[in-house]
Amino acid sequence: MGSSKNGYWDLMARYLKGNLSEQEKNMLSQWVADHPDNKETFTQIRKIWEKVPNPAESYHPDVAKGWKSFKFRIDSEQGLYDDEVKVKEIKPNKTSLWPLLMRIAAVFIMLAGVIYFVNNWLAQQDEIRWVTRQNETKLYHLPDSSQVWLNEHSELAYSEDFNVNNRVVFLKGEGFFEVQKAEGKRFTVYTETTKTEVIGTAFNINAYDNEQVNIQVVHGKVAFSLKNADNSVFLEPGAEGIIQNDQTVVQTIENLNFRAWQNKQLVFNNTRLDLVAKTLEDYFDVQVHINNPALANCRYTATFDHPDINEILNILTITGNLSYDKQGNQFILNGQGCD
Amino acid sequence: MVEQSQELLEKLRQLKNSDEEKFIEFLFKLFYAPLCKAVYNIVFDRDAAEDIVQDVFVKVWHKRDRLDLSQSVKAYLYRSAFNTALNYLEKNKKKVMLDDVLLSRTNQSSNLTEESLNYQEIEQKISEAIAQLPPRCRAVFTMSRFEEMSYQEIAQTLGISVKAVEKQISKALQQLRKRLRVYIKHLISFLFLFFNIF
Repeated sequence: MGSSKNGYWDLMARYLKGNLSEQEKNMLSQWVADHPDNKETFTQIRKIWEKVPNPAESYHPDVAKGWKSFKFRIDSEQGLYDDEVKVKEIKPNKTSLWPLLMRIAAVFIMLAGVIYFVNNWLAQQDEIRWVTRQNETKLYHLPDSSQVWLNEHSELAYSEDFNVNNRVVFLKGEGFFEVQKAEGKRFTVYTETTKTEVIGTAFNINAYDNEQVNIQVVHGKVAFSLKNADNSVFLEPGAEGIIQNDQTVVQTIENLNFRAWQNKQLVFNNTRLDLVAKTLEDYFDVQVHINNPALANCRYTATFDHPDINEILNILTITGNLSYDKQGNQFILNGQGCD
Repeated sequence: MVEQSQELLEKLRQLKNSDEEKFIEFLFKLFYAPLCKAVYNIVFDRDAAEDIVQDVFVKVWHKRDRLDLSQSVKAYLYRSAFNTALNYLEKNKKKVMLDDVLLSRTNQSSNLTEESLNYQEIEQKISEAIAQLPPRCRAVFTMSRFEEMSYQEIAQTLGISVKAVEKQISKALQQLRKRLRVYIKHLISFLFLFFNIF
């Protein structure tokens, strides 16, 4: 039994890469149909194959650092640094007072320089500030190689000593954060009203309205609280925290498209047409009007990457009983509607 | 992954003839990160992965005069990296340890009751299961799955037969399924949810 069963494992291995001949395909599907256990095995293998996350996913090698040490390695092999070694070997054969005085002078000049720089450095500790304009979203890299996408009309600030002892940033507007782990150093995002603490994770904060800040967690754990409060709530992937009238509310993420501005993807999962329309209005900055109230009940499931509004509406007209007219900046949806 | 566009080849030729250092810099900046990631999936140690890839580039630098650009440079780099990685594991003979990043995830929560399994814990289990595969088997599996290489390409890279590649994959699948049996239901439902939402 062992060898024949192994035969099917080999077939499955080939199946996963689409390498099966017609005959082998038939053999495999016959085997799958033969017994529920076989079917289960086959499904499990397919799932493992499809869904197994890449262990190197969160690993971002530092190319600049790598290049530096590589360059140093080949340069020293080529003897570019030999000169320095030789200089040391030459012994002065005559001592005169001038070189000594010059050396003393050089030491003083260097000391003065160091003091000047340290002073400057202490005095500066400046803030670094990134600002996006209207209709502009931008990806920024923090010194700890965390990434921040800023939505339009947003601002992110951090001080120059970011990542020295801790990692603190200040956000206005909306940002999507992908935070790298850094030797246990916490990463804190302040908005005018809230404080969010993480170690390494990805999440979205919308703080356009300081009275209603919300955060959605994609992966990792996040501690979320009012700015000056001690008690934070812990949010897990798929959860959303909302600050409302100084209260923190936790719920599962309602709007599937909370990060559409960042990943340029619109997802509708059995979504009512009125919500689809609202999403399109927000994303494309247009108006979408539904002519027949019953039409709002229709539900749609689709995913659009780098969406285009005409393309989306065209697809909706194919899949549903609906048509649309465009009048200037407004799209008008017509159709029979659903129960 | 072994394919090499005509444009890239032209660019490499040009650089190699005009400025060898620019040539190696170009190669390095293009392939350092992807190679590190590929090697990491075999040795599961970031420092080791970076050392190995550094060695590969030093080797390329040494034999730059004899480098045959009509053969795919990319294939050459991957072959060299994978073989160096396998040698490294053999020499060190230690079990592959998950590096700190992965380990810190396990420590966070150790009570794996059915309800408390979250995405990261499952991911952790899968990484552990991959790390426990024998080195050659792990290399073949990760190359096939994450480097998007065909069995033919893997066979060429590692200098083994296509049949042997298939055998390793089937072995990997059997072991992964055995080790992940308990979590597999979660894997299916949770990842299904996860990928649907995000």
